[in-house]
Amino acid sequence: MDLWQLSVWAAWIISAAIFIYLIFDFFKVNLKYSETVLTSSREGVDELFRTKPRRGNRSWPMSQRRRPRRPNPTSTS
Amino acid sequence: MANVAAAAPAPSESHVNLLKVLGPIHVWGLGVGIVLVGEFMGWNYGVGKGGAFGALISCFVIGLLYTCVAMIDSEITSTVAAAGGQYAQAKHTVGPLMAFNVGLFMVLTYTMLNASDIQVAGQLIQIGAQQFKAAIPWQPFTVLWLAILTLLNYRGVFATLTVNFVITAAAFLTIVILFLGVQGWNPTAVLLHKELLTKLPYGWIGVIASLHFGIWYYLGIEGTCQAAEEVRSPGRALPLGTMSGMITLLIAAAITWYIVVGLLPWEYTGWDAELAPLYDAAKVTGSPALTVILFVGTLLSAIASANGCINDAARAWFSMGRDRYLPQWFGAVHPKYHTPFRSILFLTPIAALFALYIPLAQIITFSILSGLLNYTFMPINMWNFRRKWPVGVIRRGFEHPFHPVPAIVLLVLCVAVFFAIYLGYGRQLLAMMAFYIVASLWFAFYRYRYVRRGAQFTMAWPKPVGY
Repeated sequence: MDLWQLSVWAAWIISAAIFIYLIFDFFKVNLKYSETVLTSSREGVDELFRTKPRRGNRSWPMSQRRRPRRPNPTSTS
Repeated sequence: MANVAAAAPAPSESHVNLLKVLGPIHVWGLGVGIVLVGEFMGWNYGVGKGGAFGALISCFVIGLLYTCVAMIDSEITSTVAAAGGQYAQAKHTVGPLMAFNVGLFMVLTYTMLNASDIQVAGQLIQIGAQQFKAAIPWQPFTVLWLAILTLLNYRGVFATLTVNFVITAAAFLTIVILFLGVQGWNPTAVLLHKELLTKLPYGWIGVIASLHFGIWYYLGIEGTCQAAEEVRSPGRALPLGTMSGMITLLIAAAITWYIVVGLLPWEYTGWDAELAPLYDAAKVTGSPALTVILFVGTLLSAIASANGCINDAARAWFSMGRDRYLPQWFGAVHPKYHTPFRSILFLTPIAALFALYIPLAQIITFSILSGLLNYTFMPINMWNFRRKWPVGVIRRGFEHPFHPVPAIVLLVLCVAVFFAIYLGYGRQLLAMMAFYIVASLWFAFYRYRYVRRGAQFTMAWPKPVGY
């Protein structure tokens, strides 16, 4: 068996080993974690869950920017 | 590998999200990595249709098409920072049925492109072995490349796209080395343009037919959008990575055409039996060093493309699962590696089956057709986006100039390319359209009831104008 034929066998064996590892890890993760945790990812999570705007309001979505408070015309001070 | 690992189970109220670890170089590596293989092979069939000058015209016309794609994508994706790319854009700007179709277009584009890339990568090993008088099958190496790239994608996006950046840059460098090797700055030293360039062999209809293969120069650059949820700064990284990627591809396409048509007659280039015209051009120079370098470059470009396609197809499939356009099971993220692991593994055997049993020309035609349908959606996407959220209403990472000119140009060019494809692959085009119509009916009458209708609109934007 020459080197090239050996490489063919090596390719099959390495491929099989990788796929066995992937399938093993796949089942391990599915058994260890609940479906709720695994499918808990959220799209646009930055915008949805940021609680405080950065200084200067630069990165805060426009729809949620605070408007400056108007002075109360009835106030006496 | 993912550099943030959650070894302990996450508490029930926490979310396992994709990691935000990517920068502009990763976006460049993803976009150019998917596409660059088209410089090494595929575009040359356009020479068979329109001659050398026909291929050059299609290179520039399709370059214009993709520049419009890149401009539109850069604006919308820098605002809709979500995995799924154009799918996520479509659900915000158009509606669920369009989003479902766009998601399918992308999954098919990238899965079929992945299948053709790994098939080519396996066949290149076979070609390499033939140089040493060894006859080996290509299938084991195709499966090996797929296994290695699937493992890489499974274990984390940062390593995946860092590797893609490195091998893509190396593949691009081999094109530059060939240009230097043939003294491209001196057109009469090695290159034979005067002797080899002819008039248009089939007239202007041949030029139109060659537009189909001009797509190869750039197919997949829109894939940069799929990284939107994983880049640290979408507003900066996505436009920068996409536009610099487009510039790289325009340069690579021009150099490729210039070298190949200066070394090989158009009759040979148009029906290249050995897959790769740049590699053949290197062989013609008689330099063993250039031949080896271009062989390695061709192989690296195919691997980079497959790697990026696995990444993009999985993200599109994952996003559709997350919104329940598909079973929610696909919307899972690996708690340790933060990758869409179920989508990655689900699409792997599909790519393997197509790579092992379907001829290359058929697979790549499926990919091109799906990609083109995706581009046809983009003008509608852009019009709706600017109409519903005009400039100034929401913060954009990038605003493309001259709206609506790029959208109109894109639509006109898409129609022209559809006609070109119809000339050569009319039956496949109609079959693909029938497939998408059946899939749309399934979605509208069965699957839509499961979609999270309110929750899928995730961007913190004001109500659209007119609502």
